[in-house]
Amino acid sequence: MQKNILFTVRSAPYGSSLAREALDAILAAAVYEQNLSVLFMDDGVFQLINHQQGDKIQQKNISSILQAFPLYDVEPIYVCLSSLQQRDIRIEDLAIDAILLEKKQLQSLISQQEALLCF
Amino acid sequence: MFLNTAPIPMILHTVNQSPFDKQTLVHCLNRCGEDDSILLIENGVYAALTDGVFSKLLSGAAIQTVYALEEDVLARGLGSKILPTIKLIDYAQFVQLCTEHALVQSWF
Repeated sequence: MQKNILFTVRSAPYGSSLAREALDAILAAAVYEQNLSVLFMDDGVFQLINHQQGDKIQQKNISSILQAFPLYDVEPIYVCLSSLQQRDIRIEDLAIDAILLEKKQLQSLISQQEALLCF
Repeated sequence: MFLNTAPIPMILHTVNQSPFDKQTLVHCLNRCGEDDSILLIENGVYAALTDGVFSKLLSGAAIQTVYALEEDVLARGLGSKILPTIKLIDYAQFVQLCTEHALVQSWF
């Protein structure tokens, strides 16, 4: 039976390995064909910014990895609207298609899950 | 889009960072629901200091219960300095608490 599993991603990219580890874990989990979804919130929304050039600091581009998500059937991708607004990030700044959620919708999403994996 | 009208399940939030150093506890409190509880572990127990600046934040929060892990409190020599409204639990009770909540959300 498929379980509803939500990855909550709160870490900014490049400053620590957490962001990369989160994405690797998500892609690995996708193999098991559960009901996976991903929520970017707090500093995690920084991972979604377009035109990243990770190679400038000898790191793999985080946004490129994100763009591979649909290939692995990891969708939908949710983003916390207030986290974007606090950081002055607009929809046109995002590298991927994502569903923006307000607080109540976020709570509703979480209430439907059977497990949370927090990064 | 989400038409779920079932009661929102209880979440146990674990916080392991000191609020004097990181915003982790504040971020957690911003997302907590009324039915949720918080468990302070590791350096998170520093939020539970009786006369610390965060004691008001914790005692005023609209959530169920704030717990602190006793082993981490004792390790740090804080046994006599913890807010009385905070419930101290040990590792075994920690495990039990996890089984009693629908979800565990880990803040670090």
